[in-house]
Amino acid sequence: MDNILEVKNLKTYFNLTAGVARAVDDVSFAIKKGGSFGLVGESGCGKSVTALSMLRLIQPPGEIAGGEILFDGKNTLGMADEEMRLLRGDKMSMIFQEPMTSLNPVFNVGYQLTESMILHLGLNKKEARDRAIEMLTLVGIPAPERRVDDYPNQLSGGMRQRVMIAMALSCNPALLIADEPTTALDVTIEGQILELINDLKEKLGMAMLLITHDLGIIAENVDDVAVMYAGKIIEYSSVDNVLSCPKHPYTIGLLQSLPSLNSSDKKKKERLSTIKGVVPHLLNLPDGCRFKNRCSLRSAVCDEPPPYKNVGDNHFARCHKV
Amino acid sequence: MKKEILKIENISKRFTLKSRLYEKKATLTAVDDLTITLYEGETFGLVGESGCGKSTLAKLILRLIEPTSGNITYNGKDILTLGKKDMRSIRKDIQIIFQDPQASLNPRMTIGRAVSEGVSIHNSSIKTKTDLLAKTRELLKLVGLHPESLNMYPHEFSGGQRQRVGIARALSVEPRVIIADEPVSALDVSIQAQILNLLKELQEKFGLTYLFISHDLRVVEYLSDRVGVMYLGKMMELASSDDLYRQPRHPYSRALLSSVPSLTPGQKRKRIILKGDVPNPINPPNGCIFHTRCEFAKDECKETVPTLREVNDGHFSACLFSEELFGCN
Repeated sequence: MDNILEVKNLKTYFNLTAGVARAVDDVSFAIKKGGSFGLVGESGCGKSVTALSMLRLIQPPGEIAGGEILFDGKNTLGMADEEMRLLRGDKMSMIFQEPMTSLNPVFNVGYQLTESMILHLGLNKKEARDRAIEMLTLVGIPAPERRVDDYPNQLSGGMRQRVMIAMALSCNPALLIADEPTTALDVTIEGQILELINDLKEKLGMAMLLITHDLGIIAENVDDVAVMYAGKIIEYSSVDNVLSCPKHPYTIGLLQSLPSLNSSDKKKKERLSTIKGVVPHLLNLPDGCRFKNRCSLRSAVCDEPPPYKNVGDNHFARCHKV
Repeated sequence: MKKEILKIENISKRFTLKSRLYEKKATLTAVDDLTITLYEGETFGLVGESGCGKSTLAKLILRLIEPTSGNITYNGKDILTLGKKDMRSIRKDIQIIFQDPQASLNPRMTIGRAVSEGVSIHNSSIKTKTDLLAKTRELLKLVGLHPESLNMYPHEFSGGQRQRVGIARALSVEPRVIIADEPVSALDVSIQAQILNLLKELQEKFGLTYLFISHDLRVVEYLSDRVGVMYLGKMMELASSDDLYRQPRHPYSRALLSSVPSLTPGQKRKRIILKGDVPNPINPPNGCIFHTRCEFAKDECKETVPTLREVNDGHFSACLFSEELFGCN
């Protein structure tokens, strides 16, 4: 077993009165033990729903309609609720985007940190408190003995995110899911947090699933990456392959629509190349290729569902034209 | 010769915070002695992290809040002494685009009404309803929306389209200056590029002057002629966009620039990671406000407050050791 996680043909649908929204539609990927994997895409493409499906946190009207999620070889979708509860926060844990809304404002940091340790590690209150202080030290919070009694509103955004990380790591997870961990933070703090996550990942030997809309963060922090669009993975390979020689027109368009840093005067005068139009609504997806209405290479063949082609060197793209 | 259009001189804004009983009243300096001159037709980019005073400055210029001290002149006219009525005509010339188009559009107003509202107030040449309708259609077309969408409500649009409505609304009164406060931050990358192109197009068409506020350094470089870097209410560095991005002369700007991820995988950039958090603005550090996070801080930085001074042609830096650290040329 060298994969800590394998997602096979995952389908997560939302049954709405207006129809079925296929938020995650036949998504497959694998994360190696100790490896780091990135999911990138624009808002609404299904990144976060994929993460929530992995933890089985999808609430009605949403449901996991099919597929397998193998964690360390065991299908989590077949587990009893109690078994899943023991896995969640223990071997598989998650950091959310907005640290203020994911921390409970009426409990102090120590209480929230020790909750999962008491549950999963069987520590008593005193031991759990000591470990909480140890975790806060690990994530670089100054004066942890005092901070452990603080409430979330007494901490800055960056510190709250550190607390979230401490909480996620407190039970030595084998897989950390980080859903836009730095999006709500300033750039100088973003640097600190990503460095911290990478350090700890190395130190504790855990695997990471990093979800973001920022291609720059992907470039620096993961080994393999999948690009999602309207519920489907449209490109999948090592980060080198995807960023240096992207194959799917959507990935190419995304990379080109970013202004480059330190560009020459001539380049600044030019227009940015854009992807025309907007992401289609999940209830009203076009037939065949979901990207065809925005694609410059569109032809009649795009009305058929595109094949998931292997273009060599473990590089896959879902497009008729590659 | 470049013509000055908007001049902001030594402007400061201090807020007095509510205090508890028996507690001394605290003041927060949101904007501290800022001076910026905008020239006609240029784009001035303003960057900085959250809480550095960028948006407060935008509100000061529009006099949505009053400054504690300083001067603002528009086309040679001191706008801080103007009465309500005269200020109205200035607001016609200086318009703002906000970050969140969802929050800045009235959900119960059709976009046609939202866009035509300003026209009917400020444009005296438009008298009949048919004229107004034609003008509204023209404005929607200008920003790339379907002219017949004027009876739709904001929720029927996507984020990018709503931002286009916000732009049409700002343009409706034929302004000279547009303050764009994080106009693309809430948008996805592929949509962001569309809006940036639109802003550029409109500038060329109407000779607009932009004050472009953003925390995204890539976007600011793409759009701006000159750039100012703010930290805790103060201007740390101000230069032409080329100079600033090629050779930043303030340790804070250098750290900010180094934090922009490169898109080339494997190429580990030398990221300067700043220690700690931005200090509490109620209780800012003495001396240079950046010294608590600066990798080059010396004893002198803890005592002497640096002023923004010209360290090279048109390049200003508020670092005591700018020349020493980053060379003369």
